[in-house]
Amino acid sequence: MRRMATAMGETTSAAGSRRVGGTGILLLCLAIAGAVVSTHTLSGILPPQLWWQAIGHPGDDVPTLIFTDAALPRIVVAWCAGAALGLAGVLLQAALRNPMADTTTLGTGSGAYLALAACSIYAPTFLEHGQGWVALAGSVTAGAIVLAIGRGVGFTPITVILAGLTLNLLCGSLGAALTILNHETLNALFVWQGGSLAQNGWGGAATLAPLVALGGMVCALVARPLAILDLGDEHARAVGIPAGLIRLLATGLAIALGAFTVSAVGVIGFIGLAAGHLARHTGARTLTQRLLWAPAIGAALLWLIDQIVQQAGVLRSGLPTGSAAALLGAPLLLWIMMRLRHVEVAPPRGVPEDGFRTRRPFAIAGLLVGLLGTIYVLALVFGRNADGWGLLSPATAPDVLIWRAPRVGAALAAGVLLAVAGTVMQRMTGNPMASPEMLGVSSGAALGVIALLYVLPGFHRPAMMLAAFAGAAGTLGVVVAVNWRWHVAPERLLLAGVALATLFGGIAAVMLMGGDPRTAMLLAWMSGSTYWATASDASTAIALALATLLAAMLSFRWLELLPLGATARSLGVDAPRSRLVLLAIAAAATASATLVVGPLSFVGLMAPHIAQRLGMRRALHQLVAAAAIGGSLLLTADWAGRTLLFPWQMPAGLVSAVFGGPLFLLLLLGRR
Amino acid sequence: MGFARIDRRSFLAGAALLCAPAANATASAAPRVAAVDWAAAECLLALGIAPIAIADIATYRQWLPEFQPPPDTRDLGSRAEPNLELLAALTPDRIFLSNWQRGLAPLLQRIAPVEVVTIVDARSDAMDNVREAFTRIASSTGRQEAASSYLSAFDASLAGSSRALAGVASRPVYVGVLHENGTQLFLYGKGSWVHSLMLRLGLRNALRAPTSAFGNALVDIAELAAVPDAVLLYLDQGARTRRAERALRASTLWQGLPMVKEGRARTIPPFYALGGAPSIRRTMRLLAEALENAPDGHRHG
Repeated sequence: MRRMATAMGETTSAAGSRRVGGTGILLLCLAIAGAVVSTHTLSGILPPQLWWQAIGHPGDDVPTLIFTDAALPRIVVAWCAGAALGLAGVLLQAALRNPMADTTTLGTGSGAYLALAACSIYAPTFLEHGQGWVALAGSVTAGAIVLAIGRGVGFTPITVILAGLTLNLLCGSLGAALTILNHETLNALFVWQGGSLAQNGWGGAATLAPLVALGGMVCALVARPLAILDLGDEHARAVGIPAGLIRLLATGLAIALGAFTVSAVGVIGFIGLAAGHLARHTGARTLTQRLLWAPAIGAALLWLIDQIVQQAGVLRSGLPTGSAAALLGAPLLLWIMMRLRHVEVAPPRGVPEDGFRTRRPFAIAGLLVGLLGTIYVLALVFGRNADGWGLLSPATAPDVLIWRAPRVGAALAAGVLLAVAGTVMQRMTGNPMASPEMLGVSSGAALGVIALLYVLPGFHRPAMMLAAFAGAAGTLGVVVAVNWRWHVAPERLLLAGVALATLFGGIAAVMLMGGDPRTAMLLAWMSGSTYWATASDASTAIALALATLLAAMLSFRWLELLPLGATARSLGVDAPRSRLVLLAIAAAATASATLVVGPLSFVGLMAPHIAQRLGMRRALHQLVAAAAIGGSLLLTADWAGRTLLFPWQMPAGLVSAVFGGPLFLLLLLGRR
Repeated sequence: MGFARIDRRSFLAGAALLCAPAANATASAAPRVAAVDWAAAECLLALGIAPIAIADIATYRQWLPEFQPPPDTRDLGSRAEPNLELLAALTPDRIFLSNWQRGLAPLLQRIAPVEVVTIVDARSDAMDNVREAFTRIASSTGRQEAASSYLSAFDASLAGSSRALAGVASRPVYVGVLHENGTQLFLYGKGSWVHSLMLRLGLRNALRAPTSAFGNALVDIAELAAVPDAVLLYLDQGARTRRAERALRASTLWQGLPMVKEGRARTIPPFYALGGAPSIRRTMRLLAEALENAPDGHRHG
């Protein structure tokens, strides 16, 4: 570790050295802490005076064996995985020009999970050579699809990010669907998802280390052109660097690194995001500096976290390293954001205005609303029961509708709410990646529910609503507090949201892997289920949907001008105040939707984009169109989820991602 | 060894006798009940009542093979979200839930009276819960007699098994499920009925790590070294367990563990650890068979 650090110190330029000193100090602190905790762990296994002897002459008594074949390889794997994740994060953030890009957001984790789940059920023979290879195949396939879509559209960052997010959700949803249908077979996979560095010999380290080293070497080749690209496409064009190709290579490399780690140790979030940001904020300003420092920081960070996890005491029983990384890392990221004066990130500005704009917004809006109404009625009357498909007869209608109507109403309301939240978020932040869950509100609500599950034995609906509300309100408070001083700057807002979402993912993983039978319920709720909606839930949600839609429509001027950035101010928009109001609208909409159908909000990401593709580009038009599209999508998804696999049921949010995902990917491809 | 054989034979004979009351019970008018969890489902079937509907029936058939529901039993879908429209249309007289599904009660009460069966909770001994659950299911379906004869046979086989094990099984025992990744395993501990069953059989549970609210713990294989003289019994879940074994074969750590080197790590047929009294009877048989056949695990070859 130390050797690595000094080597890097020498390579940094004299001009940057004062600043990069901060990064060096941070790295040194992390490494020293890691070493101290490791010494403590290791001496608990074997007295220090025997260490050299154990390494030189591995005996076969149990403590020596644990020392040489479990504890030591685990440290090496932590270094490799941390370095790979840190490097991948920086590469991706540079290639895609987005501070929130992380390999797991491009589907490497969920692709691997889906491959493992599908193989466990349909093709167990593939698993005979271990989970690692199947996970790697799934992860690489997902990454390749993202790259292929990206290539098809000239590798513009926005499209790659959207494709990645969509594929991630798609794979995640398909994986969740398989898990709901085969819960007893697949619940062991939750362990994999938690991200564990436990080793049973040197096999894991021997596979991972060369792959990461290879990744580092390839990185050296793309580092220079990527650094020039980082200064702007114009610079790159001036020196004849093919921007698209370099982006493709860098993204491909990042995905490969992410896939290697995922296949070796499972899903470990946050390190990829944090290492680069930590390096940047402690002074590694240029991309080249970050490419050198971030892997070292990632390695030291993961090493430290993994060692803390192994300490006896509170954290002992079964907290997986991946979850611990999220638990410790998210507050760290929030703290960094509180402290910093400038968040030097430049998210892709503005909604591209080159797209098609319709001449008949009213006709389209009318059509969409008509479609929504038709689907609503069909979802109510057409369905399936023990005797097969059919329309409701007047005789049986009351008995069926008391169960069906609340769900249909809740789906409609949640679709509208999420679409409104998504549109407002994307316009307010000028970031097409923004979706309601990035507010952190739904993560907070979900955290509340999980905390409740530890306290109460059942899955008590009213208490759950309260816990979700408390969680949502609490996180919104944190997000606003973190952002208040900085006038709700979009970049900070999104970073805070992502930090909270990571935190939630980590805690949910702990809950899911605990062998608790209620995980089946938690999983369904997390996937956007209308199952629990009552008639009063549904009617309240519809009222809230209308109210937030109206509120958003009234602020159409802000929504029109804010994506323009600095121009908005010159046109007399009080940016901080308007953002706060919009934040409140988006948060209210997201929280209401989460309370009714759970935290999965794919519709919120997708509906605004589909509205734009239909040419509804003005804020007001986009809002109405997105609301109708969101409602229709979730209604259809809920109907399909209730009927296609009858008597089994799939959560609406999940179905919307499974069917909407590919559709959305096609839309992206059609963008050319 | 000789003692153990005789005891096992008598215990099997007891098991055979048990089928008689169950068969008689089917003859009287059967109530229309639905089971949203398997613990209740197997108890009902053991009492001679065929539920009209069971949630996730395919997995039930696979995991709890000893009490099979009739072929025309309806599937209710997942145990987390049983199909309400279907359940309402089936008009059951009574619906059985497990305590982890308690949240469903307000919804299901609109269809029929709901009975919550508590198997594993953090407060009381899981085996006491199981007995109480069995009695309650029996009394709410009018099968008290069948229940008392089942439970006395249950006690007889428990006594038989613990006599069989006394003296032959002195080592502490780990019971659990290997994880496919070859680095971790789930072990049953305090809170689970596996643990209380082990105590009543006179066995010592080797697991010391704290357990979850449902009585299990996920541990790294290195932690198995904490009790080097223990026996490890892991559930044979078919292909999944084969893959875990294959992953472990490559592990120097696993091969170096005393219990593995000395042949004290072995499979037992699977059981459903959140099941009711019938599952416990099956498990006590499985544990007794596994431990009395190779008392100290010195299986050579």
